[in-house]
Amino acid sequence: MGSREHDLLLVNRCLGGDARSFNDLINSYKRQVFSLIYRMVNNAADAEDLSQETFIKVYRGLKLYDPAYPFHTWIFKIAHNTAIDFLRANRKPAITIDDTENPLEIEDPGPSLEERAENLSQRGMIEREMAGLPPLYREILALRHQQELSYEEIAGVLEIPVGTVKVRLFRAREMMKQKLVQTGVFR
Amino acid sequence: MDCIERRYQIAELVDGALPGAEAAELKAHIRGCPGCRREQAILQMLSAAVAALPQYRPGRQFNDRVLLSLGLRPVGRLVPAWLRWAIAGGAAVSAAWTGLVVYAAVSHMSVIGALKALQLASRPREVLSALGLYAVKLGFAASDSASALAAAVSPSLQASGLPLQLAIASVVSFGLISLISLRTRKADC
Repeated sequence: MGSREHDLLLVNRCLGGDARSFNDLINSYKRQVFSLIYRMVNNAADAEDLSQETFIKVYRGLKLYDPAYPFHTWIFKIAHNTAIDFLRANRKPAITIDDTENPLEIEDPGPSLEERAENLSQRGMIEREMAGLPPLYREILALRHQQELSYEEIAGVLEIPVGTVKVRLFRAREMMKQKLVQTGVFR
Repeated sequence: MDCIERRYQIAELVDGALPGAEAAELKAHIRGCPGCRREQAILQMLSAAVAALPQYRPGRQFNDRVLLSLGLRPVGRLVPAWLRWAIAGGAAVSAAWTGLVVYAAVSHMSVIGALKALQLASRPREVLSALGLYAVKLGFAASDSASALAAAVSPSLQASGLPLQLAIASVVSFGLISLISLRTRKADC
């Protein structure tokens, strides 16, 4: 994720006719956007299409972007709305995280091999439990803990009051916590 | 406030979103309450576990697909500035060398030599070996010409216009490379 000043610079350059700057914006946000959408729709191919759609909307709406607000919350808002529209149009049961037809490229967060081996089974269980949550709960957990957005920023992205953010986040974590305690991951 | 109600506060505390005074009061309570301490520990583990989940990324051609969907040209890999200068320099040197060789060939080749070359051209099997020999001869001739150039501004060289040709060849080579490089940098937005 780029700094606010850097994002603004790229936006202005793009509005001035520089395609390379838009390419840089894509590079800055594609992982976050794709990860967020993937957490919501649980399918790599759909997430790829929706991420592409998100960036197309971003490009076409750049003139409407208000620099008073952080660029990343604006782009997450577009990603959220795009995924929500898709989920509404394609109501179907959630599938598992193991999408063998569309293997994902995973960004290595960096732990040592030993740590990875130790955490692998636990991480897999956490992934599965998270994938089993309702989409809005998966989304809010990803926004808070993976994208590290504040309550206020999440409220801006989801266009809901901060109080609702707290409640939804609390419920999402409660549900997740209960599952992980039941499965013995947390004792 | 009982411990069940405090769970909301503990969540905010773990998120670092609880105001100072409330946080201090809650921390004091947690120190003396095993249930709330466990709640805090579990929430901290959960937060860390979700944060540690991998970030996914789209396929390698993602950027190109987005740009093409928007009618934009995919942005190629940038050639570093030092490499562009090196290519331009190399092209200029090549152009200068080619000019020298052509000059040497023109100024040293006799009519008989030209006829021999034509005769050789009609016999392809002998052409390769002859060309090798001729290249060596040209090399010597070019070397002589370079010496002549180094001897400074000889009247014959000036008369042939070779320095001007070399300069034009270098500028044209450099211009072409710069143009190609610019075309990879710029695209309609």
